Amino acid sequence: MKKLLTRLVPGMLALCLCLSACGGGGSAKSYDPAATAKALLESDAFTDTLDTLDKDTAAAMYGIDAATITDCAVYASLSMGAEEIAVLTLTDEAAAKTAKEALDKRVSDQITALESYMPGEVDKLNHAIVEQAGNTALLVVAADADAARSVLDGLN
Amino acid sequence: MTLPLLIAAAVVCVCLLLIPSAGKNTPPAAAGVTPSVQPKTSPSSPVTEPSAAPSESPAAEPTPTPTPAASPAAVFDFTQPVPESEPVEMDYFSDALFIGDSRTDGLQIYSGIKGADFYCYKGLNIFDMSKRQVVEMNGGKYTVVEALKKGPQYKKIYISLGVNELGYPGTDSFHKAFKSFLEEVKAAQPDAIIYLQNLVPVNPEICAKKKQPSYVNNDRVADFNAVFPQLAEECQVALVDVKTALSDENGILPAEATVDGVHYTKEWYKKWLEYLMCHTVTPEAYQAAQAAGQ
Repeated sequence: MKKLLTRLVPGMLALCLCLSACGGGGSAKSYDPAATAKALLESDAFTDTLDTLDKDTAAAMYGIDAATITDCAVYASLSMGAEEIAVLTLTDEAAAKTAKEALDKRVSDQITALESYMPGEVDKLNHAIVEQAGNTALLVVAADADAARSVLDGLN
Repeated sequence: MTLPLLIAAAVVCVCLLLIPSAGKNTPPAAAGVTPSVQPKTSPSSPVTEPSAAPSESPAAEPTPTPTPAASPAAVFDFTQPVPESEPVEMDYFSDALFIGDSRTDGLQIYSGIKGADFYCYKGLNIFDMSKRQVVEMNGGKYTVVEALKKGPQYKKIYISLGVNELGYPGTDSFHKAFKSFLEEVKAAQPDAIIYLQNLVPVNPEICAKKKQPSYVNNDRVADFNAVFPQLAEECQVALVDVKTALSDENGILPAEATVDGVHYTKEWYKKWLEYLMCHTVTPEAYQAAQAAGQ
């Protein structure tokens, strides 16, 4: 019996650890593209007028392989300013990680492009929210980053 | 005491059996993606030579009257804007390049255009063409002129610049720099039809409301629009009258077409693309006109 227990206890402990790891943390969290974008647009976080981009155009703009995007909601500024929303569902977490890196690059590229063209927009980019959550990746560049953060926190 | 332990052991065993199969759902890492706006590989289809010279007729041909290879209507007139033509399909742009500023950026993302490459950048102006490295290509950054030389060869090149130059004094420097750039484009891309787009006006009321710089006004736009026909004639390139297409009966950008007075709404970007699709020149007419002008 003692022998059985010595074999089972480590297995049970490992199982408990595994279950607790899967049940919490960031990997299980994800964003629904349409619902997330809708909630953000209905908030007071944005001052610019945004309009939608289709999947292929967004993929090309961000440098993400369109084949890895299964669903998305992407909005960009009609004034060519910094404000932007991109909520992407990718084929898996690895693709989401790659997408998140592309969104990080988008922020730095936009800072470079706008610092001489629209310097007032750069502060929004300095407070950009870029996340990977499960198989989703998200970019939010808002006039009020705190308001955008509250919306996101309220979703999960 | 032992029975619960045995039940627990059984549960653990079942779970341990299930874990490996759950692990199989973990997909392999995706291949790395280079996030860049690289142009496509060279659309190097063979050049369609114009048949300006009459073909040799058989000796037995009884008809003495020679037929011109190109009718007068097929020869393009560089002093006039490109006339309306049969609309082309979207694949017309598969070997096209667009060069421009943030308005062209908007055309790229909002119009629905597919297949074209873009060398465009926010704030880009004609004086930047050999200075600012704004084109990402093969892991490097290049100026527009460098990219035209090193990058793919195109069959059509659309150019739209002017808004960011409105603050420069006069138009002479703009004219000179643009002419020099067009000559570089022609030298670097000898098989391309070059479409020079004139400057679409702004909406003064919304510009004022959005605190656009004072030099962003339609008097300056008109000054610059006087230069484009001269450039088209001097450099033998096709002038596209997007100014008329995208402005209203008062000659301004309508309020419903813009949110900041300068850039367009999605509907207007689509309208811009539609205009381009039904104002094209055939390579034969373009090259015949160039030959006639030499």
